Amino acid sequence: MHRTQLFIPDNIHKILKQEAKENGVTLSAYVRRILEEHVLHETRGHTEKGIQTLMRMIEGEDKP
Amino acid sequence: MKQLFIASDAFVALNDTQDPNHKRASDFVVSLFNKTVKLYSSIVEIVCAAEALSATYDKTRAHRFIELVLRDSGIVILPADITERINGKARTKLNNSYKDLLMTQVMRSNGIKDVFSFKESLRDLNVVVWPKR
Repeated sequence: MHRTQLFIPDNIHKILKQEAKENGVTLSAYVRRILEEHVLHETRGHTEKGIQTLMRMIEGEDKP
Repeated sequence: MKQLFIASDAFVALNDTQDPNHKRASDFVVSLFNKTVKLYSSIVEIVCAAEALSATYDKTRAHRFIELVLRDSGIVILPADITERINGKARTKLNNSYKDLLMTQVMRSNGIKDVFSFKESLRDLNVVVWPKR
């Protein structure tokens, strides 16, 4: 794990703290979960698009 | 495997139904469906693949391939710094071309260990080659 510090707007901090409490986890754990979901979602989106491109090559589609 | 670099021979195998590795390449792409892996290549690999397709077919085919891979394809195209000297140890691997040495250097610079290729000689260059034998 890597330790880091960042500045968060007051209103966002308040929302995150409340949501973490509702989920029964610490603020740190909640922020980690959000970041992991975002990174995985972004990567998954890239994967699907990339695989679609490779499939077009296999199928011999003319247009991107 | 979280990141996969696509070599020029893999692009050629995918695009050319007559290529001896076409079926293996297709099967490997299908196997990626349920995985989360970011795809990479470099401009050098794109040009080499386009050159091969142009030689086998025609320039139109090469242009189609280039458009497909460069236009919002989901494949990250990395630059290749050809001014950077090839790593000393790698230079002694005589079975690999300059292009392949440069490719593995690009991979190493970007923290990518896995490559989609059918070149067995790449196994000497400290990368993981897919699909497996």
